[in-house]
Amino acid sequence: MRATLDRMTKAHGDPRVVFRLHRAGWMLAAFVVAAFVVVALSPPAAFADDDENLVNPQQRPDSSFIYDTSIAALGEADAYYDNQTVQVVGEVVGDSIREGMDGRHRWITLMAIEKDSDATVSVYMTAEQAAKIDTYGKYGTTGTRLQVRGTFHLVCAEHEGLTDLHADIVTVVEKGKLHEDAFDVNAFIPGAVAAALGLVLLGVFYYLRERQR
Amino acid sequence: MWQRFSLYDIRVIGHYLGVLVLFSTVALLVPLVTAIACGEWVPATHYLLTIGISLILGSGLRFLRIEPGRLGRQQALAVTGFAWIVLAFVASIPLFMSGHYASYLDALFDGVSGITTTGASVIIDLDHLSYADNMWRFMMHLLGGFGLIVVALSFGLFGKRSGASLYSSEGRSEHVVPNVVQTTQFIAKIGMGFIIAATAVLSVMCLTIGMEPLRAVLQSFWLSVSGFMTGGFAPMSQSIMYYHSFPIEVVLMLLMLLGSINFVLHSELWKGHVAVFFRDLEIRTMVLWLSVMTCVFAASLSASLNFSDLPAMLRRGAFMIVSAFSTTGFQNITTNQLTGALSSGAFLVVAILMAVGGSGGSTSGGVKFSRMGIIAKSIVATIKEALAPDSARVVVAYNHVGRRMITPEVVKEAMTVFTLYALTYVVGALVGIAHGYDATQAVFESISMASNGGVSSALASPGMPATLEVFYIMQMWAGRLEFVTLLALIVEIFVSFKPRRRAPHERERAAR
Repeated sequence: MRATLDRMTKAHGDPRVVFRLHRAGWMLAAFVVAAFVVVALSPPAAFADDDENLVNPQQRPDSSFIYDTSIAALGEADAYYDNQTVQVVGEVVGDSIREGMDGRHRWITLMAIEKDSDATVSVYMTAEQAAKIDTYGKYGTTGTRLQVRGTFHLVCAEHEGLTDLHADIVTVVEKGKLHEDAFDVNAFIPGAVAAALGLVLLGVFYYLRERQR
Repeated sequence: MWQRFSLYDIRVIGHYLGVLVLFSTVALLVPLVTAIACGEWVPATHYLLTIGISLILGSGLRFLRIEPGRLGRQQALAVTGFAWIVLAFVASIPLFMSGHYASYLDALFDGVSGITTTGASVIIDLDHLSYADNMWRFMMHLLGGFGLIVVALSFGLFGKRSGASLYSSEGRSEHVVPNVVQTTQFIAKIGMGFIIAATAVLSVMCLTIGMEPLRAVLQSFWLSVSGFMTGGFAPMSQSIMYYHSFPIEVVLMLLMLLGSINFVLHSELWKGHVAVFFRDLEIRTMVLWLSVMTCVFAASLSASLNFSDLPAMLRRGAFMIVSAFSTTGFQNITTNQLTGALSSGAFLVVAILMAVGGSGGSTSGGVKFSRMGIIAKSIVATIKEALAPDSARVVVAYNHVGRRMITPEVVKEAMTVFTLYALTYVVGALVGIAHGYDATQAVFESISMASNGGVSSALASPGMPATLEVFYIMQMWAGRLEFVTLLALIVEIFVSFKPRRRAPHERERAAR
């Protein structure tokens, strides 16, 4: 260490300059190592398509990116959420509703996946993005689980005051599932017995009424 | 002296309630067939079991009196009053079994809301509800919208002689044709005609926006029933917003308007009496009232940040005004927007529109235009009397299917019902406030329940306090029966249970 400093003093003359250069070198090395450790330990990108991660011109400079908002929170959103970029995960329910006559855009209803909420939000997306959906949720069907990143509008000026989410990036998290009712004869027995009993009672009533006449 | 129920009365009332319960069994066949046709086997078992329970209950009640004889006025009152709640209890059985309700009370709330055509709902995860359960929800609207008694009368269930007293006990007094049964049949025919026509139009629209054919047809039928019956249930949790279609909203607005006009006036139009229609007190009151309230609503929105641009105001505002005044309860804005983004003035206008409601003799709830018109005319008469000389006799007339005079009896009826509605709105609001809710929302929700409006400010939701839920159920029931039938029934039950005071000679005899 001392020998290195002497060598540098000979080369540069002033020992104070040499000391500063030496300290800067160590700091640079430490920074490179720290950066390498951070990159190595950071998790891989979860769902977002990084190649499509464009700059959102509507993003306000003073607000942070709101990641992983719940649909329930959007259902109770105040003006703070208006025009913010949000990211939600939900189940697709209902139908793919065509917007306009050109068919280039679709309306999708996204339902909260949390157990304590059944809140929904209308998502406006392109037909190509909607084509990623394989199943629409309804009775006996769990819809495709989507992650949508986009701009939330509390009162959308483009859609006559609707509360909606304009999708930028749509990613399929989980495919939909069918779970149709199985036909089980035994399940009908209590109903059949009750209906038969009711009909017998009705028959007895009409019999008694005819006898009274 | 108050009238009491005798044992004979109770047996007769029980018998006729049994008739109505058995009649509702026929309606339960519709969701059963839907379930079987769509392969929804679990709901099919629920409806078969409910049919069985309904048959047993209905037949059992009829055993109370094998030959009931003619139904008296008092008994008719009780049959009507009880029918709405007994049928709601039966109707809520399959709803509860669907697993979409947190408790039986929640299912009962939706049962009463469906039958009284209120349209408020505490259902969980509506978007995954089976076709059969949805069909049942709208069958309740269909039965309740026409009126349980009207539907039963149109099928001649009570015989020819008992009709008049039953008909009037359900808040109806006007006859399209002299015979009650024929009147009810006319109402049913005109209603079904509109529903079938609207279903066809909406089906085409739903197919155009990309819905599956079966869903398009079923949802069109349900929306038509809900719209014309001014019910308010929707097959999807986003209500009418779900369809993102202005043409669908226009058709539904038209349907709600038609549903909120007196059936007697429908018949006048049917007969080609257009002048009679436009001279009618109710129509004139409606035009004046809606013009004023629309201006206030638009002015309030214009002054606010949201919905102040013309397209938003026209689309969202016009729809909400029609939905509120017809007491339907469809929404094309979210509840969050209703309570947060809409200006407080516009929010209050929606509540006032629900409070007044539509025409008498229609499927709408609320105070009704006919009563508002009569009260306004009576104010005019009072001012005229104050200004007229002592010897003058002031006569104020109005048009309602012919020329009629403002009489003290007519004014008394209108004022009584108006006062009862106002009192119920206030008491309901106080109950909401006492449960810790925001005052404006409590007022809104109370009006929504008692007027059978159904636009909700989210107080009526799953997990709401049971006491508030029971009160709202009572409000919906009382509002649908327009109070008089219900109050008379409650008084009569109370008096019947009160021990009879002995006459002086009886007391002396007992002392000896």
